[in-house]
Amino acid sequence: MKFLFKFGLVVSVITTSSLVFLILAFLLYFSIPLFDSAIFVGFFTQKWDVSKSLYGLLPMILGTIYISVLATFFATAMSFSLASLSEGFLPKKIATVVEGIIVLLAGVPTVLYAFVALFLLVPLINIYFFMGKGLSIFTASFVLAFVVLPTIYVMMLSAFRGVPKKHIKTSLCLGATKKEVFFSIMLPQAKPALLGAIVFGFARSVGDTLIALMLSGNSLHMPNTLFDSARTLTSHIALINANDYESVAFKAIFLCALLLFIFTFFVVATLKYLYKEKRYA
Amino acid sequence: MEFDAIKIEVENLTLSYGKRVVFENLSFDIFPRSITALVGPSGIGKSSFLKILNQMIREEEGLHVEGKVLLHNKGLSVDILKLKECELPSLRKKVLYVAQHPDLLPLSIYDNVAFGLRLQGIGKNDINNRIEMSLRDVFLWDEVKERLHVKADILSGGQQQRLILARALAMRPDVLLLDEPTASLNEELSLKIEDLLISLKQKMTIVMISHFKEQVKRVADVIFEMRLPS
Amino acid sequence: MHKIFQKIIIFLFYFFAFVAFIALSVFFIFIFYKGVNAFSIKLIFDDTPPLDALMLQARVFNGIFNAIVGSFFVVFVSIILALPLGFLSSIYVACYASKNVRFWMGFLCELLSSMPSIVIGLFGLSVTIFLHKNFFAELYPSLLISACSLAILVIPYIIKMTESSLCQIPFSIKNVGLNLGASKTQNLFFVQLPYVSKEILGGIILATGRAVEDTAVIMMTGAVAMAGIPSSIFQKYEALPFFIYHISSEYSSKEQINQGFGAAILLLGVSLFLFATAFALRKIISKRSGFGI
Repeated sequence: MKFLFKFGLVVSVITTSSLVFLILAFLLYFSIPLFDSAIFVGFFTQKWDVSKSLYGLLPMILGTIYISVLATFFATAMSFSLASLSEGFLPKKIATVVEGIIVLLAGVPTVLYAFVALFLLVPLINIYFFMGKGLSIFTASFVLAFVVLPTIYVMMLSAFRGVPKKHIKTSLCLGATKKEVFFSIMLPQAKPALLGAIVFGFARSVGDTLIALMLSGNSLHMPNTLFDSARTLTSHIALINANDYESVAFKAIFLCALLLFIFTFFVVATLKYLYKEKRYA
Repeated sequence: MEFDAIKIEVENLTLSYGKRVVFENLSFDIFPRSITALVGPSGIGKSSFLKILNQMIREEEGLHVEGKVLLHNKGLSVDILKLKECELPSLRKKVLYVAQHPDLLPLSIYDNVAFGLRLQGIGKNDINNRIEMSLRDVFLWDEVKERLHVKADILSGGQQQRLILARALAMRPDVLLLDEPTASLNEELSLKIEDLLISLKQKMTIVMISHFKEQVKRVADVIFEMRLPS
Repeated sequence: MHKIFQKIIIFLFYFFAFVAFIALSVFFIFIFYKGVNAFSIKLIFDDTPPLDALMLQARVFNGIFNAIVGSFFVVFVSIILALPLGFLSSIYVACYASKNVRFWMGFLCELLSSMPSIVIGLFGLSVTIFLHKNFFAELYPSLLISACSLAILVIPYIIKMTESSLCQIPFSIKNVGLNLGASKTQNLFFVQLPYVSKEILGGIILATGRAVEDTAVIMMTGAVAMAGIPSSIFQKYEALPFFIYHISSEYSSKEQINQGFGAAILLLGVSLFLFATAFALRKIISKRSGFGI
């Protein structure tokens, strides 16, 4: 019995820890045929046009960068404001309510934000602001901001709470106002963890599929302005029409996934290095 | 420089923690330009009493205060228990609490002292002067003048205790609340600090907690002893 | 100058918080208004008598019943798959692993939980293609593949929650059993696991919530718009989040949009319920005193 239990432990640890390597192995297995062909450089310089045998991922890479940078910007502005207010300025009771609401927001399915935006925000922009530009980088990143907001907010809260209470008390004791405590004690000390929260939020917004898929228009053109339609790496994967498993178009999908994998790896490694300890998001 | 003389009147002050009463119905006066010493066994609420005087007690959870603490200043009387949250910072700039365990901010020696002065909106030159003066007052200047800009936590326990005293003095308070100011100092320095306190009472009202009988006898004008109910 | 700067920043705080508040209120009001109006028994079962549908006697053609059943099954199977793996791994990491192993497992979990879910979906798809080509010609994207992929998605959550709760047991309780002469395994089963049972339950609920809402994984691995109720785990199936996505891209009438909103409010209700339960559990745990079972 005891032996069986220990055997189970070892088997599951090996299984779970090999998952990441398995994912990497499969991504490589399918994308390696592309590495030695002459078109490899083309993936990072060309456009995507299957009819002309062009398989460039550059528009998607740019689309991903534009949408997630903008979304991170919106989300940071909102969650930093909310976290600062609830830790530094609002009365405790209101702050608890705000925290409760935002933590619950993390439970709202992503697809619903996109669905509601599609029938509310997109027509609004189409009719009143920019004719026919409802499905755009701007729309996608604005909505995406609400998806990553709770993540960044919770991490920023714990960053502020990591500031030792005694430092806050000492400065109150010297006659500092709430505002002064916030700006001169809490903010400087929480800064590294706050930056970590933003990086993590950025990774989240790069990894999201549904918002960009449903709201950014998925055009294959190079995006130029905020109100252009664009396609992200994630939605490019989602849009694959997998009829011919041997085609370059299909294998290029795995290159997209490989790029996302590498990006995630670097983000997690950076955060791990920054925090130097286990972080439970 | 003109210093205000503040008289403190304590009326029926009761402090309770949940259902446990820490002390009850304290009533006495603290006179301006005097040193009042609080003595008594530990755990009887001496530190809490000091924290009531600058209302840091509101930052502790579960403690309940009743009664009145009146500050008399130039004919004006204020009950500090009834001050609004936003009025507390200005009270705390006048009534300064110096903790028993050095509560340094994670800043340099210079910035630790300058922190309170910046809160008062004092200019840079004045800050430098005041820092030098107050550090000289506590006999720390010669020990740290070469390394004002290193982190304060490299200082020894005794140096840290004098640093937080200097930090308070630099702010030129009207009332100084001292929680065992000489607990980690050697005898010679203790005597020097006692002399300092005696000279300070020309300018401000001092309330201190001390466990040293000799010290209390030497510096205190009024001794207030808190006893357990027998 | 400095003071003015700070004032502006605080003003911006309130401004952004206000923007977020307004946008979120509009979102919730809109979805509740549309969803509650659209919601009806007919929406779920169409014209099929509900009892017959529930007993699987009659087929529902135009309602979201199939999607509900499909979602339920795929989440159920994925949790069944993920639970033992995640649970046992976290016990190993928390109780038996060396510091090095713990660090690397932590890193791998972190990496897996940060991985875009579409990548995990693509992994599921590619494994299917691989197996289909080389070993099982009958294997296609199906409910089982989706469940496996969802399991990969939620395993790191289960590991993290269980491991952190095991590590955070107060020192006084952690080794009570050892002091009384129990073996390490006995101590684990009779002292530590009962003590953290609520945390573990909370972790499972959160994992369920994560699996219910995910769309990217299932759209890669076998969720389709029309499939009926699957008769085995090797068939394609319908699912609520995919249904909502599908409506948004291919709706042809107002009724279909209404159906979408009905499905949306249902999904929102389920997700929020799961999340709120996990949240409430955590509140209870933080107030616990003594040996709370």
